[in-house]
Amino acid sequence: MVQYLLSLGPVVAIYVILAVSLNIVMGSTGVLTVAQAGFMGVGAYSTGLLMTDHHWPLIATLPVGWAIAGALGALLLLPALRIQGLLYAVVSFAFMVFATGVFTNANGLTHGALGVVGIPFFSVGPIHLTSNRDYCIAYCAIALVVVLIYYRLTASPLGVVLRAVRDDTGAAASVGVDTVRERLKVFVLGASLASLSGSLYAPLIHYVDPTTFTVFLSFLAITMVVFGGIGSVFGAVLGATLLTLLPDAITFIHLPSTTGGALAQIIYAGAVILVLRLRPRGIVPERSWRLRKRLAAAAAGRRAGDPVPQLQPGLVGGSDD
Amino acid sequence: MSTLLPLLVTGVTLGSVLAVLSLGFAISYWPSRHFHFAYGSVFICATYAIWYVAADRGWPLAIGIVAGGGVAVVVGLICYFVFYRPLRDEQTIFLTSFALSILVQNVLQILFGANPQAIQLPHFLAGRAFSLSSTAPVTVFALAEIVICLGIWALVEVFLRRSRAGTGLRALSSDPFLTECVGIESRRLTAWAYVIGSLLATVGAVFFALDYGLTPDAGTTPLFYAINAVLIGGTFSMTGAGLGGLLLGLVVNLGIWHLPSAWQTSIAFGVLFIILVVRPQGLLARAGT
Repeated sequence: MVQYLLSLGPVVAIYVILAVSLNIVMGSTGVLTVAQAGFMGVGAYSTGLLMTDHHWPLIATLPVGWAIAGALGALLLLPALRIQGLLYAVVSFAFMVFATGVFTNANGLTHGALGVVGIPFFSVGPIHLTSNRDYCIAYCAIALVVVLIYYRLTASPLGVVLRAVRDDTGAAASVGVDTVRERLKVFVLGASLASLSGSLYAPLIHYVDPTTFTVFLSFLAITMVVFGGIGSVFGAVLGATLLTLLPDAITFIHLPSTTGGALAQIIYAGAVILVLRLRPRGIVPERSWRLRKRLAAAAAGRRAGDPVPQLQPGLVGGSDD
Repeated sequence: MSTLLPLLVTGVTLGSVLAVLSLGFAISYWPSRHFHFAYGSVFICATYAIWYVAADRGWPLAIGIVAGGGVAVVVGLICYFVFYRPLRDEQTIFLTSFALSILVQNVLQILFGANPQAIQLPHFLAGRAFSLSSTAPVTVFALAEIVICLGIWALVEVFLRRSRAGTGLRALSSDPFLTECVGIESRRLTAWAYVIGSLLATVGAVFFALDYGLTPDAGTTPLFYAINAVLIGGTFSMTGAGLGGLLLGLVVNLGIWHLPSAWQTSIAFGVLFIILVVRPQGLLARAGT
């Protein structure tokens, strides 16, 4: 039982990093992107291939993943400048399906459908991880560092600028913000962080399977972020933790494996639908949104005839105004 | 050249079915702006209904198709009334629709198992073929597919251009606010749009089920292709969606003339990505949309 929980720990940590990477992009820019799993795949394959085929040390493979993912992230910024909203999500969707195809079929580059087998254990300098407990401690520590960095980012002047770009790009540009450069930073950072989660995934599972990195993994990341709360640091952690543990918690009820797996997915999907219906902003909405809501509520107590401030349309939902 | 002709045949066959499917997605999407990702669920429920009635229970295929249509319409309307209408934000609707598709897929897996199922062709269609050339046999069934699908597409086009409801749908697609101002009741019209979309999905379901068999996750690939076609076809354009479907069916099959067939999906989506970057409004949209 303890071993089981310890084996879940590193997985939760990896998903937290993935959720934070997506939250950086979605929370800061307001775009819905389905490409995050592709960046994770880039990291996983970079680390996996370089460690098995070319015997690189793990630490050297990380920048490779960051560079490739970062470049792809920058590439995906270009359509975002021209296309708004949901159509951009579809562009990223097209890119993701294409990426999955490359992972699965580029036999020369990625070993095709066989995937990368036999990836060694995590080993950086004097740190050699072998057991579930080692991985759990190390990965949770890394995830904690990532979350702290994200928290500092949202609280920093850069975070304020990014939210300005998200909420009203025109207004931000009018006060001199280079919206393109700021969004570029965010896209590259989000992609690189997702690549990191992939690079941590490879030495944990010791196997990179192309069918892992599909639009559905991206959707999982999106639901973690939306579930927890877009733009909210704690929300990302909460969403990742809940949605990783929930399906596994179901399997504790002893059902035949296919039914159990399907039931877990049903409950997970049902939970997501409920949250989207009842709390579209996520379980823990973003701090600035809560503040705006309080201001609007206070202003509603003004004399009749005064204009009531409108809530910003923002990202998600308006049905709980 | 000898390998090209059979690929053209399969291309046109697949293209016709995709045209109908894409048309169904476009009719559900453009008038309502709800990204009906669960369209794949409507499709897969229809295939399972047809299978259950016709293959499992042994009733005639025609009854099965009617059952499939009924189930599809019900599922589509549930999506619309219960899930999409109460929500207002398109991203939330998209995510809800996606979660729904996961839900339905797993419910089907529990009910029917994950193993592939198949439906037999009725006797009068099975095994008959003729040849366009020595290397291009065309089954009577494939010919029927092409004729039926293109015929249905033509019918839908006539409906969209000549009937009040169809014109209303086109109006909704291009400007929902003005359409309401003119007095067209968008809610009921959109409900009808979902009904038509579900029926078109059923047509696609019939042919996909007969050609490829069924598994609970078999809805995703046709759905992806339909989405692809709708976006290539152009913003607000239903005809474009149909053309996109036809084009995709051809591109995908001709693509494997020189490339390994595993690259089919990648080719299709690579093309979409490029088109969306170069001309985001798609091929058939008017300039300025």
